[in-house]
Order: sequence, then structure tokens, then C-alpha cells
Amino acid sequence: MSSRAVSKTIAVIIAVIVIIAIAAAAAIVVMPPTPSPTSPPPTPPTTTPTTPTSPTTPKTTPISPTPTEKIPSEIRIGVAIQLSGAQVVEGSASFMGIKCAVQWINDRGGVNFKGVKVPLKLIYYDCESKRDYAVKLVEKLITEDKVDIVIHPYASTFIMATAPITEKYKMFSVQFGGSSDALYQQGFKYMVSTHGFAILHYWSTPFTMIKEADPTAKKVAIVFKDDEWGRSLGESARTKAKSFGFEIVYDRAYPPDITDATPMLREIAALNPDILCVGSHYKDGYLIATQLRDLRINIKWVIAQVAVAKPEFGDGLGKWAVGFIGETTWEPECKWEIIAAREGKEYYGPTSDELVEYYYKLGGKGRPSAYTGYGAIAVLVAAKCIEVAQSLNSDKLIEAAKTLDFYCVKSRFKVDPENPAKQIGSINPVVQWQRGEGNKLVYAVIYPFEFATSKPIPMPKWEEKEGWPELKP
Amino acid sequence: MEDVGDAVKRYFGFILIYLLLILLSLTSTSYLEIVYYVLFLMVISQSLNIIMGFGGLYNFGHAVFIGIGAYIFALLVVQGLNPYISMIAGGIASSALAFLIGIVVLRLRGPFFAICTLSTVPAVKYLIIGGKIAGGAAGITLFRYLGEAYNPYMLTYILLILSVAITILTLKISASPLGYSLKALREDHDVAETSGVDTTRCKIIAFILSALFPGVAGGVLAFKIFWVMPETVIDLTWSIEAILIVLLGGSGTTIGPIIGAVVYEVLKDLLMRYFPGLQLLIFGLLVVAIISIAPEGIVGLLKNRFKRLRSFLI
Amino acid sequence: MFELIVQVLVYGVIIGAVYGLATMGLNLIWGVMRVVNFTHAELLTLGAYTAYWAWVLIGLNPIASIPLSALLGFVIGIFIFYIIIYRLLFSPDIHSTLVATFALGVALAELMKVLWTADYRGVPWALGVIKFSWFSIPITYVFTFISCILIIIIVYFILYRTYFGKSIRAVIWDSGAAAICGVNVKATLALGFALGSALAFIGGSLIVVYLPTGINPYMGHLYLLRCFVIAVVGGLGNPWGALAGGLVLGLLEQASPIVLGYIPGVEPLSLTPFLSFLILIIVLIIMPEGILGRRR
Repeated sequence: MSSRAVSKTIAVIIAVIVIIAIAAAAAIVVMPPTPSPTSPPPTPPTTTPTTPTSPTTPKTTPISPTPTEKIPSEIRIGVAIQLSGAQVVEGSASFMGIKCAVQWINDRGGVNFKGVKVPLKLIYYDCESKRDYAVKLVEKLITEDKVDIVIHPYASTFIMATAPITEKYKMFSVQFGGSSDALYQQGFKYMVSTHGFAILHYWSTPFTMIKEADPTAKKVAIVFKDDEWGRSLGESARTKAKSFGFEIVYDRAYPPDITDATPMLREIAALNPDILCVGSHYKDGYLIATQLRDLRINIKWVIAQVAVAKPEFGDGLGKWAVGFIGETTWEPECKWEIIAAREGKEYYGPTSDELVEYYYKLGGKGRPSAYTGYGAIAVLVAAKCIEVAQSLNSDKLIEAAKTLDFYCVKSRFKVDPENPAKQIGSINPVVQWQRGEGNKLVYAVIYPFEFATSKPIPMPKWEEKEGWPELKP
Repeated sequence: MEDVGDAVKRYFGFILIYLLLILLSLTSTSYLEIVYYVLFLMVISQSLNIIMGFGGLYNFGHAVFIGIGAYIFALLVVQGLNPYISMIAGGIASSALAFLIGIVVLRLRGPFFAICTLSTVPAVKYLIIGGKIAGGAAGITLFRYLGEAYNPYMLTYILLILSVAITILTLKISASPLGYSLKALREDHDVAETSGVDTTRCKIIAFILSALFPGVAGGVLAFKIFWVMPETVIDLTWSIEAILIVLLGGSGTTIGPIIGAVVYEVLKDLLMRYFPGLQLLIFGLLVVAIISIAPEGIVGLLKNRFKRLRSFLI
Repeated sequence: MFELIVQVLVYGVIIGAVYGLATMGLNLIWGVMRVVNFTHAELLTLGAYTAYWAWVLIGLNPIASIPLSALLGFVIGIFIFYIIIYRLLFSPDIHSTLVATFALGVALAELMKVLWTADYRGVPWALGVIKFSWFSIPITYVFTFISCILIIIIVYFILYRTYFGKSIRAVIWDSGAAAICGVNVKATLALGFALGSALAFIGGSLIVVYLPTGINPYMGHLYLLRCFVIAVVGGLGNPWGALAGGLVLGLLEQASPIVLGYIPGVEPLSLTPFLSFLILIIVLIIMPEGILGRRR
């Protein structure tokens, strides 16, 4: 190309860039806050049909969280949750809890708002276990569906993605599904957490129990999954073990998609610990349990997070599951109202029995999983905040949240007044698989003692379990 | 000799597409999201086109460049550096990494190159996790540093500028000695060598260039998701999508990846609405079909059917 | 110390043999038609699912389901070959088969997700353990190892004692010369691919024994890196190379966490895959034909 042609080309290109820059600057300056409601956006997933709650709610203009407060005809709660994909099990089970809580509240007329009972309306989308969908959907819930409160999806990594969106719009939100301590270290101002965190809460109750049941237990081995959740569990185990006076003899992470833990377990066996702490999710926890069995490694106390507190653990391992201890979030046996009464605190919302009733009413099958209560509390907290604040304004709601200290179906709710994303009151019940009368495999709640169904036992030796008949639940 | 009119005609396709994207981004926030994704995909596939389309080297590890860019961005932002400078630093770091990887890996041919680059993705992931580098598996959270500054328009337009820049770069390369050398060694490596092409130098330069823009885009990505973790930023899916888009649009052409990215995103959205959950399945089959039936991609198909469009489809 | 070494050796060999078997298909297909079968990971996964469904629906344990896996693998292999591979074998772009098999792999994984969801499935098959004084091996592992040996013997038999095997070896050595000698190259390629696919399926079924709950559509990714390392280290053109590579990797995976454990500040178990990657690169650069490959 000749130099004249070259400079012509360059001129064109520069012109193009200038046009783009002008358009960009214009857009940023003008930045439209909310989109035009007319264009039906080709936004990702299907809006799944039913909103399974509230009787007859005509579509009226929802209240935006601004000062002048009329009494709305319904209070809209938006949820983007994993109803398919990798986290479908946890997501849909938690969502069931959410639905049950909404139904429970609406069956009693709704939330008390300025002397009137206003029903809740649940607006939800399936984020297909994809973080970027969840983000898009939360934005959609806020800007198009104009919800009043947002409940974040399950899992800390999702919440870390969706929280900036709710914070950007200064929308009051509740997260029930994230226990990663990073969540309260970001400076989120409008989000409350309902569940305890790995570093703050986990391991304390099992350790307390073991110390009581077996004062001779001294040596602890810690293994944890090398991802964000596992690491927090590992750190938590480390600090708690030290503060309880245990001696840490092994402390290692394993890769998230581990297929073989035998090298690690072998090393641990050689060290002869009294307690093994496994900071896991389901698949890896289960793998470690089976390999402990296969290698015939006998350890007196074995605590495995997340994996143990699932019925599949007992189904898959049968009699070999006896002795494993885990922390759980909610079980149908929980009766926090007893503890609330003893401490003189308020108990709000359904009892566990009532929640289980609603679970079956809304089509749940089998034993309700721990996630049912786990999800239900999100709605209960939202409702309580509204009742205390008597407003849908985010600032008022968050202020109300800071003052709350009550019990509900999923233990205690109390946040740090300086940092509402930091839940400090939550208590994890502890469970253990045990051998019951008549060769039954029993999933026992062993802590809190107020409603425990039996006492903790040390893990029977593998050789002893060999001699047992198969146990059935 | 060309005058302005001819130049506009040649680049008409590009100008049209970019203008459409800008307009679309201004209509609503959901369209803005879509435009963001289209531009992101454009940037990564256009950059892949340099090494894959021109050079014939199928880099399955392209996603690593995005990841490194994201990590460097995060590390610098945490130290207090301006995010935009951090993004550029991410791009530079990515190029540096490309140089290091390139001198080792570029001597491998065909399938071996593919295997090796494919393996770099899990390898880097495990290196970060196992070596507890930059927070290991827990990664680095950025909301504290960036939450206030978050502006989706800004991020989208940064991607737009990146895309335009790489388009221009590709156009320039296409007509330059580097471009001809690459195409020569793509056709037949040994013949090119004997004809005097310094294949090593060309390959390394192309590889470095192909890493620069994804590195910056990685910074943009980190800005958007606020949490840099191995599993969120080093994701084989982008390698797959980039390769798919380059093939779909037309490997070795400049407008190919642009068209490919738009078509891909539109298809993806449509599929999500009518056949949710089936996208990757259909895309996998689509790639197989393209390879078998239309290896030249959309651009190739259009060129064959509509001879008059030839001048636009460069 | 001695106990540890023995355990590492025993487990390394047992697990390595299965890895090797699982990768034999990859080596074979490359040898026969110079195609890197990127669908390999998904074929492994399909084999694992075969074992799972055999367990759930018919009550077959993974070893008993080997014939089923082999048959399915073979049929699907022929299918894939004729529909996709054959067209592309002679295309000017050497990458066609690569990308096509890769894309097919992605499509298959998604298909599995659609059919059987992404939930983790498991085959909790346990028969107790054999106890030595200081360690124990699950009996299922031992059976798996024995099955591996048997299958390897069968493959040897096929390759060295049948006409089909001879034609495969001929095509591996030099397909042009083989054609001149009257070998039906096309049929050989098809059967070779099918055999490779069958081996992948069998490998997948056997891996299930080691993975109590890990079966899901994407499990192939876990083994992708491993299989490539094994295949390359062992020598791509040689099916026995896969075994050699498998043993190397099996021992490496058992031993390296202990060795890496001495390095402060790293997580040994997570760093092991990176180590295997380093080995892959080193072998590719220094000795691309692998341990047992043909010296060019």
C-alpha cells in the first residue's frame, strides 16, 4: 500500500475509534439506571412456571425501597437458586425449605406490616449452577421484577458473585447458603447471613463433646479439601484444636477432585491420632470414609464435615458408617424452642415438626434433608426484619436485623451489629451414625443435649464391625 | 491505491457489527450483558486466531492466558494499583508467560502441541492450588477494593476497545511478512523452513501476541466476578469456546472470529431459552459438523455462495 | 520406612495397572491411525456408567460387567469411526480429527449429563480386605488387578496370535506397506479404533472400583491429564507403552505426596498432578517417542 493509502486507512481507523470513544463516554455519562420494561430481554434461563405460594395476589406495582411507604399488597422475595446442574441437590432442597417457610407465613396471613397482614410472593429462577447466570438473574430480579428482598443462591462462591449486585443496588439481602468467612470480610453492608461460618463456628461443638466423653484424647490429625470451603474448615480445625489443648500431628490439604487418599491416610495411620478431622464436601468425605475402611485404619473419633450429615452416607456404607461424626445444619429432631424457652428468648416461625409437615404438604419425599431448615431460615429472617422495621427500606431493614436475637427452626439468629454479614449466634447440631436396637442403622443427633437422641460413642474398630450383620436404617 | 471509500467498503462488515453492538448495549442492561459476553468471546477468539488460524497451531491451553491475566490483575489491585493499569499489567504478564511456555512447547508438532497445551490448563490450576500461590484454592477476593468502582458499561467498552485493537492488529498481521510466514508454516512447516522462514521466531511472536489480549480480558473478567480462584478463571471452557468460534467463523480470516462470536452467542441464548441444558451438546455436534462439512467456517460458506461479498469477508 | 515402601509399591502397581489398561486404547488408536483420540476421556466415563448401570439394574459387579463394557465399547467405537473419523482421516488438515474427537467428547459428556444428570453416582462394592501385618488391601482391588492382567493377556493374544492382530501391527508399523501386502487397511483401522474404544470402556469400568462415589459425566477430565502423561511417557505407538507409563504414573502418584511432603509450604497431594505434567513436558521434549516407542 502506498503511503497515501496507508494514511487514509489510518484516518478511517482513527475515526472509528473516536466514534466508539464518544459513544462510550456518552453512555457512561448518561448511564440509564433501569432498563425499559418494554423490551423482552433474551435473558438466559426459563422462568419456571409456578410460584407455589400466596393465595390470590393480583399483580400490582411493587414497592421500591424508598422512603414513602404505602402498604403493599404483597412483599416480593426474589431468589436465584440452583435447581439444576452441579448443585441441584443442595439448591433444590434449600429451595424446598424456602417454599415451606413462605407457605407457613402466608397460611398465617402473611407478615405484619403496619397493622395489616401482607402475604409474601416468591419470585424465583433457576441459575443452573452457573455463577454468571446467577449474577444476571439477580440483576433481573432487582431491576425488572422489582423484588423487595433478595435471597442469595447456595454456596459461597455464588454469593460472592451475586452480593456485589445486591450491594450495588443497596438492596437488603439474606444469604443462607455460604459459610465461607470471606463473606463477612468484604464490607457488604446490606446482607445478613443466617448460618455459622467455618472459622467461627465449626468444630467447637464436636470438640466440646469429645473432651467431655473422652478426656484422654490428645492427638488430632486434620485433612481438608483444597478449596475455599475446605481451607476455612482446615484453619478452623487448627485454631480450635489448639484452643482445646489438642496436639496437631498432621495437617494437610488434598486436591478438590481427589480420587485416591491412600497415601495421605497411610501417613496418618502411622501417627496414631485419637481424633481425625476431615474438612470435606460429600464426595471426598465419602471417599475418605471408604478408604479408612479399606485400609483398616482405626481412629477413635472421626469427624467428617458435610459428608456424614447426609442419608446417602449411611445408605452407601451401611454398618461401616457407624461411629462417624458430623456437624449438621438442621435435622427434623431439632427442638430449638426448648432452648429458647430456657434462655428466655423469642422463638419465631414453625417448629421442626411443623416444617416437616409443610415439607410433605408441598410434595417432599423421604426424610427432609438438612437443607430444608437451612433454606427456611432465610425467609423467616427476612419476615422478622420486616416486622421489626415496619418498612421495606433497606437501611431500616438492616438496622432491624442488627437488633435481632431470636431462635427459630434452625437455631439462633444473631448478627454482629458492626457487620451484619457476620452471623454469630448460629449453633450446629452434631450427628453420629450409630448401631441401634434390632440391628438398625441409626442417624442420631448427639448435641445439643436438650434434644439429643443418644450419647456419642467412640468409633468401633473395623475388625469389630466386620463381625456385625448388615445394618439397615 | 485506495481511497477512503474503498477502505470503508472493505471494513464495512467490521464497522457494521461494532456499531450494532454499541447500539445494543445501550438499550438495556440485559443486552449490555450479552454484548459484554460477545465482546469477551471476540477478544479471546480473535487472539486465538493469530496462532491457530494463521499459524495452524491449535492451542488448547488458551484459557491459561485469561487466568494469568486475572491473577496478576488481582494481585496488583490488592496492592493498591489502579485497576486499569493492572489490567494492562495482566496482559503483559500473560505475554511473558506465553514466551516462557512457547520456547518449550512450540517446537512440538500437531497433536503433540495440542496435548501439551491442553494439559497446561489443569497443570497451572494444580500448581496454584498445590503450591499455595496467590491464595491457593481460596483465591483472592476483590470486592473490598473494587466494589465501589464497578461499572458494567466501562468494562464492556474496555472489551470493545480491545476487540477493535486486536482486529486492527490482525488486519495488519494478515498483510505483513509475519502473516505470510505464519500462513506458510501452517501449510507446510518443513517447506517453509527450507524456504527461509524463521519459523521459530514467527511462532513465538504469534504466540506472544495471542496471549496479550486475553491477559487484559482476564483482568476485566476478574473485575466482573470479584473473586479470582483457580476454578473460576482457569476454565477449559474458554479454550473450547475460542476454538469453536474460530472454526465456526472461519479460521484464518479476520472477520471470521467476529462473526463467529456473534453467531455463537445468539445461538447460545436461543438454545438456552428453548433447550436449556443442551447447549454444549449441540455445540459439540456442531463442531463435528463444521469440521466435516464446512471446514472454512461461516466466512467460507458465505464466500462460496455470495461471490459479491468476497471483498467484505477478509 | 520399609512398610511404607512396600505399601507404595503394592498400591502403585495395582492402581498403575488399571491406569495403563485404561490408556491402552489411546496408544493403540494413535499407533494405528495417527489420531489422538480426544474422546478417550468420555469413553472412559461411558465405561464407568456401564459398570454403574450394570450394578444397579442387573446387579453385576464391575468385574463381571467387563464383557458388557467391552462389547458396548466395541460397537460404539465402530459407530464413531464410520460416522466421523473415516471422513477426516485423509483431510489435508491434520487437526481435523483432533478437534472433531474433542468436540465429540464434549458432546458426549453433555449427553450423559442430560440422560443421567450431573449427580455423583457410586458403586459401593466391597468384599473386605486382605490383612498383612501392617497394611491391608481391599479384596476388590486385588480382583481388579487380576482382571487387568487377564485382559492384557487377552490383548496380547489378539495382537500376536490372530490375523486381525497381525494386520493391526502391520498397519502400525507402516500402513502403506501393509496395504501392498494385501491387508484391508480400512477394515483394520475400523477394528483398531473399535478395539481401542473397547479398552477404554473396560478401563472405565475397572476405575469404578477405586471410586466409590465419583461417577459423573465430567469424571473424564480427572483422567485426561493422567492418560496423556501415561500415553506419551510410555510411547504413543505401542500399546504396551501404556502399561509401562501406567505403572510409572501409579508409582509416582503413591510416592510423590510423601516426597513432596518434605517441601514446606506446599500441599503435596495437590501438587502431584503438576509434577506429572512436568514429566509430560520433559518427555515430550527429550524423548517424544516415549519409553517403549519406536526410535525414529
